[in-house]
Amino acid sequence: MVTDRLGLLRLYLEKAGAAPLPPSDIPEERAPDLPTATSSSAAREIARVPIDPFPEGPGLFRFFVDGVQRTVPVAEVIVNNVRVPIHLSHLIVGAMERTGRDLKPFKAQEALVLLFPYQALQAADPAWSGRRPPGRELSSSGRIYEAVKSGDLLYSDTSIALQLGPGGRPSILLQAGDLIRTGEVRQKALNRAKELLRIMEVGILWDLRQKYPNDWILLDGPIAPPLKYGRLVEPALQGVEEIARPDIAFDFLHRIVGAVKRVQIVPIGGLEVALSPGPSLVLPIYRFGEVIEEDDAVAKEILSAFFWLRRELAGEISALWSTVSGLVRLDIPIPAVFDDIGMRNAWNTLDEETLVTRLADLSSTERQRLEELLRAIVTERWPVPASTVSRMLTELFPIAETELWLSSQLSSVYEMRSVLSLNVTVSL
Amino acid sequence: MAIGRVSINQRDPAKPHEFWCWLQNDPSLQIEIGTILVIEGDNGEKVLALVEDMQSTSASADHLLEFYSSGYGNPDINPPTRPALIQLAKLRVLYREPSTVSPPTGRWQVRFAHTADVELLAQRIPEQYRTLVGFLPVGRNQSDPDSWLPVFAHAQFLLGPEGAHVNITGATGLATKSSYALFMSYAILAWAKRASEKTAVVLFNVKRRDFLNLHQLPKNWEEAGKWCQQWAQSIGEPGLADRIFAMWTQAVRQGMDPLALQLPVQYFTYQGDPDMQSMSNPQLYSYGFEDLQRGDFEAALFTAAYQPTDPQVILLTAYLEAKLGKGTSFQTMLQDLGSPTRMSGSNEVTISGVPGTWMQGVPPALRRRLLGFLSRASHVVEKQNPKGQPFRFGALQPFGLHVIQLYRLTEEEKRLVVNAVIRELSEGLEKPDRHINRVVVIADELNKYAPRGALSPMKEQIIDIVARGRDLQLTLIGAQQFASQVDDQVYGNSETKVLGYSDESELTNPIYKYLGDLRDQVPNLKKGQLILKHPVYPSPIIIWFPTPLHEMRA
Repeated sequence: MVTDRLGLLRLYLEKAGAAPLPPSDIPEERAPDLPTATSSSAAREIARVPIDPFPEGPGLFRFFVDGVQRTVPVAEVIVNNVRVPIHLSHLIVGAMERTGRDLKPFKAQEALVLLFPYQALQAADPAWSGRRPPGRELSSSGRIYEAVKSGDLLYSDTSIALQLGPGGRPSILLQAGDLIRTGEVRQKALNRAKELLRIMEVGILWDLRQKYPNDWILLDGPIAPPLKYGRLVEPALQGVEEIARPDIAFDFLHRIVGAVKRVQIVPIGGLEVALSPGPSLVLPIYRFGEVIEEDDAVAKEILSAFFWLRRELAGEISALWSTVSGLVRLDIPIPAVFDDIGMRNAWNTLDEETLVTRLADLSSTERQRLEELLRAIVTERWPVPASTVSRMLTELFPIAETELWLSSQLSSVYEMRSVLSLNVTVSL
Repeated sequence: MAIGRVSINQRDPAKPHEFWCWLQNDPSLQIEIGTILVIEGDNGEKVLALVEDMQSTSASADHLLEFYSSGYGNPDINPPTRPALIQLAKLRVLYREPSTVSPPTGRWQVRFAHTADVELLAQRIPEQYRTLVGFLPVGRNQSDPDSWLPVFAHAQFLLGPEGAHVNITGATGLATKSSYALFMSYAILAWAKRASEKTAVVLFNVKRRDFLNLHQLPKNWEEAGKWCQQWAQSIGEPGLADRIFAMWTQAVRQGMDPLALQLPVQYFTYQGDPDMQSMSNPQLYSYGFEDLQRGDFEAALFTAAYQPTDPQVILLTAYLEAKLGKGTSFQTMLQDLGSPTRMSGSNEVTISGVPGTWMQGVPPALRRRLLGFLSRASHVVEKQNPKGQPFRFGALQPFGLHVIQLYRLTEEEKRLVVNAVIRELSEGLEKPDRHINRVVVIADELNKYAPRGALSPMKEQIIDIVARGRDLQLTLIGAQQFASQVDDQVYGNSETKVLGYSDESELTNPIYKYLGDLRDQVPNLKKGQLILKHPVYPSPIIIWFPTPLHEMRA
């Protein structure tokens, strides 16, 4: 079926006069994973929770969700003597299930998406108006996850934003004059792939949530995206976006924890508790005051627990390049702690003082639930995944396994670049 | 049902004759080195392959990570997630359909072999030439005869004319060389009966009672089953009984039924053999001067370590030419060599009735050798009488087992008898009016008769036989502890090679290169398990065979 889609794609690109790009293996295209600098942000410490560094017990989480993608320029078109790259993105999201102590693949969803600045090309050359790509468009009009599940050929116009602007219209990201800025065109394609991957992750979370409403899910990465992309994923999730419907958001969020392995946003107040060498283990819980748009986005509806995941290994693994390189952040949505049906419609109105008070009370249900959650995360410190040095320090094993499983299904750079090469048999 | 897929990666790319597969993580899968698996491609390709090597691995990079992963070195911790264990098997191709020399071109599915699959192996051998040589385990229940699939050899490669000779290597006592040689004998005779090829098997019994009591078979298969049970109990491995009986049951289905075949067994032994009670109607053999030929004398008197001088050889040749066929005895020869006539005015002597003159020291030297031989060959040599009762080709019975007792004989006696018998057999097979068309000779301790490097008269005869055996229809099933000690020509001319448990030091010899990674498995072979290399199969196979029935008699 993928081969059929590629055949259509090849036909389209040929008709559009696209020229193939020679196959090459650019490291950044193998698996985009570009670190950025750390930034600090205003946050209030809500609680400090001591946890046994070596807790025993069965794992709390049943599902582990991750996504992988590979985005490569596969062709170029020349418009007004400007060479414009066209990208192809292979995106896969999936969930592994833990039964007993064993992980097994549970569900995966893949998408093959053509990424290019369609509107900007039309503006630069009206002939492009008649060159609408085949398949379904992934755009600000939403229903993206539904389109992904359809298995159709997909494309996305990188010159228009996915999210709606203040006027209810998507903003323009690339004008015709921007096409000469090849780096910018490429960056927009890579960003779009990343956004689509987040949207697909939310989609698979939604699938799981509907079928298994009370099972715990551990997501690789921040929890904030659902609050940002809900509408784009699926109309039913519109209520999650900006917590427009607290009840829907409650149902979605109350059994999900996010594990952020590359911490970029840290509280201004410092992390001396989290970075304490031990022997006891105390996890500080923060609440950030504003939504920050970074790869590890935070939001005020989410509690952030900072945790030096494998501090015992810091002496063994010397490749630490910054203080926070062994640090992970656990995104715990407020409904995961204040998991009371009575709070379903009002959890987002809890004031900060109430949060502090309830979580400081060692006998409160919320405090005990928070401790249980943190203990469950600390239990996941072992085994250590086989990965790069930095990931060994910050990645949880089930997440690493999920990523390994999904990555193994990604098409290679060469396979993707062969889309326009007629003599090459493609079997993605 | 698929149990794995071919693994094609940069580190271990798939090759035409060997490739890796991963196996599903199912503890109930009973796969081990030697198991036969089937690999099926998307376009009807089918590969039968032998598991040559296995590995259990995981994504864990090294031991340090394993240590850290258990709660930073805490053996009692049970992390909530158990890292996946990946079982890998290295496969060596035995059969490929279509028959091309090319590797798998995809992640083809892997499954267990069924009877019909293994029959593909046999397809290469026309039915009329199939000779059972062992079994492959393919099922999970080893007590079920259907779990033991027959492995056949091609009679024309085993016995000639396409190829010939078998060599069996293995450590004494553990590799069951004699038992397997006997199993092969039954199989060959079963084939010969079917093919109406008048064949006889001659077995030299060189140690203990390996080939004695062959006539002591159970009355029927019910009794055979009881023997199996009792024997397995007696050696402390009661679990073996069902497995062995299942293999015998499968052998019977393949037409190799030692009870139904009713193969005649004849024993030939020397006067005074204390093991005679283990034989039925043994015939005594002995050799007088007139029963032997020049080669027999040379084999008896001269060894690789005890080389004669040229004058001694010339004297012996002249003496034999002059005296053989004239009623001479060893005693006469002693007297003749002990009373030479000195020529006047010279250091030379003459011997009565023998043309020529000899330096005076030559006859005494040859006589000393003869005396030494006779003193160590009293069991089998008629010293006073010109003739004894030698083993004769005419004594062979079609489809019979003929055991020639050598146990407890001196090395000189063994050399004399083996040489004389093989010479007799090869001469018999050259006669136009012979009653036997094929002879299979089973000889253990082949390294003593055909040692590597050194020259000896006996070795020359064996080399001649292995070279001409295909035409003569004389097949040698030779066995030894160390194949590296056997003459290259003798070993190299054995088209079928069988290897049982052997020591690692022996396996470093380049002659075992054909085993590939299976070489590592040789020190782990169990009793009853062997590696077979037969020209029909592109790769060696690990086979099983059952304990001989007579060995299980209480």
